[in-house]
Amino acid sequence: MARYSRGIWQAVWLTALVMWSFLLSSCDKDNNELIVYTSVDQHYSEPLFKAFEAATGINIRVVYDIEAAKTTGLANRLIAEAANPQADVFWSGETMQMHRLLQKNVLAPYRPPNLPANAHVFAGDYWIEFGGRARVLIVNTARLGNAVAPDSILDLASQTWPGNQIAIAYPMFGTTATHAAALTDIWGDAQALDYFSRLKQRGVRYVAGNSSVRDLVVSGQVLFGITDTDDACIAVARGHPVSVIFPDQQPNGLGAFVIPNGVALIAGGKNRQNAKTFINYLTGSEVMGLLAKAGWFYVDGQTVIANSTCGLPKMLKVMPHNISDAPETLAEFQRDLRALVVQ
Amino acid sequence: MSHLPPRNSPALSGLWQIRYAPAVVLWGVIALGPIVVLIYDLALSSFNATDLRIRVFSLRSTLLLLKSVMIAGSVSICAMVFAIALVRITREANFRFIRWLLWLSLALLLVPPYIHATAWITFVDKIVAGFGGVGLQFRGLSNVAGVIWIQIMAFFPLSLAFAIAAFRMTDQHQIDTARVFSPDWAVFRSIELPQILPAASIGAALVFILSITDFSVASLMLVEVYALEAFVEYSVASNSLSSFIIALPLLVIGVVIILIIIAPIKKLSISTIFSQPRPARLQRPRLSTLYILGLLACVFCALQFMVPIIMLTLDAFPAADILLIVGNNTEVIFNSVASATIAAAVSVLLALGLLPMLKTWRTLTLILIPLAVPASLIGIGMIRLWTLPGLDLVYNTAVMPVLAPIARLSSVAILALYIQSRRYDTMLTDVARQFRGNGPAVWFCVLLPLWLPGFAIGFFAVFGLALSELTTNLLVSAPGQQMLTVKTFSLLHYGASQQVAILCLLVLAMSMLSMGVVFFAAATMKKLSWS
Repeated sequence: MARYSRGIWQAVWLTALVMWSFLLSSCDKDNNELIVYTSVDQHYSEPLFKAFEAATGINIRVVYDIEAAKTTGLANRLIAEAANPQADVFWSGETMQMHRLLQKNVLAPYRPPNLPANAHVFAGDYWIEFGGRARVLIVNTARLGNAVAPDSILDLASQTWPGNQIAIAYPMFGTTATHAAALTDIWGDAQALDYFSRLKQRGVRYVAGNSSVRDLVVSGQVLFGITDTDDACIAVARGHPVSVIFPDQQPNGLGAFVIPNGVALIAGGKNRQNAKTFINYLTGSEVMGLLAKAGWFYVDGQTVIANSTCGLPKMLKVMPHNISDAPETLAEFQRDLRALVVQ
Repeated sequence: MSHLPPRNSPALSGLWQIRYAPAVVLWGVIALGPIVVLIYDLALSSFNATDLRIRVFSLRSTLLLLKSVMIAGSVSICAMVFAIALVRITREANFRFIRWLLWLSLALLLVPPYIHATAWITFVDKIVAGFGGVGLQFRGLSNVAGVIWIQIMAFFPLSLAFAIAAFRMTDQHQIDTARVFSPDWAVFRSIELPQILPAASIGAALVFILSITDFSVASLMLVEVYALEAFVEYSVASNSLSSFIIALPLLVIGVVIILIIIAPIKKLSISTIFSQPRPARLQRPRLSTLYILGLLACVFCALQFMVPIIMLTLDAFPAADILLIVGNNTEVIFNSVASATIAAAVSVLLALGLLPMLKTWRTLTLILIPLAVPASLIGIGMIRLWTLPGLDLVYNTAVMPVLAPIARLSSVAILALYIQSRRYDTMLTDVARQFRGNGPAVWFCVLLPLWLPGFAIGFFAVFGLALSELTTNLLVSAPGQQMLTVKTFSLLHYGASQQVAILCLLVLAMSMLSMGVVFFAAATMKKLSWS
């Protein structure tokens, strides 16, 4: 009985010790901290956060997003917290959600003092756009064989290839949503909606995210799909039998859609000065180079800046666009698109 | 059996009547609160019935739900069939290695499904590549079949635990007598099956619920399942109400299953798993279909154990990087272990407080309802609840990742303690109370030792499951409080790598350690003849 009692008490004290350590570590409010919400893949963003911490001594606490809800999930969380903001900075892998956040008064204006030439402020300094990834076609070369590879986003809707051999991420979140919004600017809402409707009618596979498109093509389940350069070039780097193509590069082609990253100050954030320090750091030339080297950024305007062996040309024709300044119209388009795709 | 009236301690009699209140209120707020607040929103909303019909009963949703039910049904049936076959051959044939296989497989009880998915995808891809299958991968060979196979592997230990409990409740002498006159299949159908059915049905039901509410495996295998719909809906629309509506079919299915298994739960006891001595065999094993199925189950069990361990270990090398990667993730590991420990401790204390309330099937059903609720709904409900005025101090703090597993998994601890509490002779406490009243001495010296197996199993089950909890942590993670499962799952979509393998091995090791402690505790208590 004594041995049993001793064992029980040992277990109780150990549990209490763990609880106490946890409470101490959680309650220890660090005044020199920063809270960042980011939809940039943790694999790319985490080393940057650690480097910033080492350089400045500012403790960064991060909320990451996951593949199934890219950027939209975080944007919704920021909107829900608007009355009592938890975050200080929002770093996004695309910029469409910035329009929505601006409309909901989540953002605060800030222009870094030494903004490089390749970073741009938007909407009255409410967010900064920098770097870029391109939307590309990824093709399984083992399955393609000697056939002519697709070279346009219009190939997803054409009859040349069976619909169930093509994949695209759901256009309700992430870069696919941004791409869809850009198409409304070029084609108009009706034609853009018609495009996605044809994809659905043809049985094109809508999947959870861009990495899922990559995985489907790599595994040979589909012949080709549309994804981002960071996802596609990983597959090439790993030696999978795929090729990556900038779409619509013909003289009369649309051009490839380039998606810059966005970073913004959150209105009412509790660590404003640290947030500005981080934004200055993030939009600096050094970070641009680091992210290009890591494979997150691929292009800067029309120039390829990544050092990858993705097989893409050094210059690309970029799709000109001006994503709508009318968030209500965009929101309505997104609702129609969602109803079309998920029902 | 007569119950002697306890001698009331004057100091405690006043408090005696309200002793249940704190546990009831706490559990009610933490575990039922998220669901109640969503139901409340639904009741107050002006939700359009047409919208409901379009979203929930659309062709796409209906087909997706049917597909998910088919997958979950296949997983639960196949896992239980293999488990029964394995346990049966363990009792038939006196091969020690089969018993070792059984315990090794049980050690993986708390390992999350996505770890099995990672290991199997790597394993099959290597084999296919080895046979020259360039460009082909596991996910390309068969999606739905792959999901079913991996989930069977993941939930097999749970089926095994209930199969063991089921066979412990059979009368071996009846079986041996019947085998004198009838072939094995007839004996199994007529004698064994009716006796093992209650426990086996509980195991199959729990596996069904876990399978239908899991989306991690399907996500990695690029298969759409209904469990992901509510999560995606919330992420897209940030509307807890529409997410609740979409998750309703899963909730209804889970509640119906809980109602079906309430009666068998009352018959089950944990102590029979460890304490009942194995009867002496009267007959030699016969080569029959069941025996061959049992041998196949052994192969299956060996694969179930070896593939995750071997594949993840191979991917984790070179060994020099292991310490580096573990060092880089110490904060994440600490967050996960600490949250799981606190959640398990609180769950066990809540179980202790709620135990006297579990007298009717209604209260037992209520306690088990959180198990039937999809994890995404628990997370969404928690966000809704803990952002209410007055409760919002908790939101976005380190407390949320602790509350999440309590909300979802405390029912496991309560169930474990409930089953254990029904096993002891109540005369023991009646006699003790004759001399020491209702004071703490009876609790510490009599009740606690008798309930200890239930405590231990409840604590470590919640600890291991909390360590592997993914969906609710995705939704309620606080800044800087990322959990190990979330980080691992996030990195998996980037692509399986050495870092993922090491993190998966960590989760696997901690889960196995939890089960190891349970086995050790059970063996110790058996040795001391306490259970």
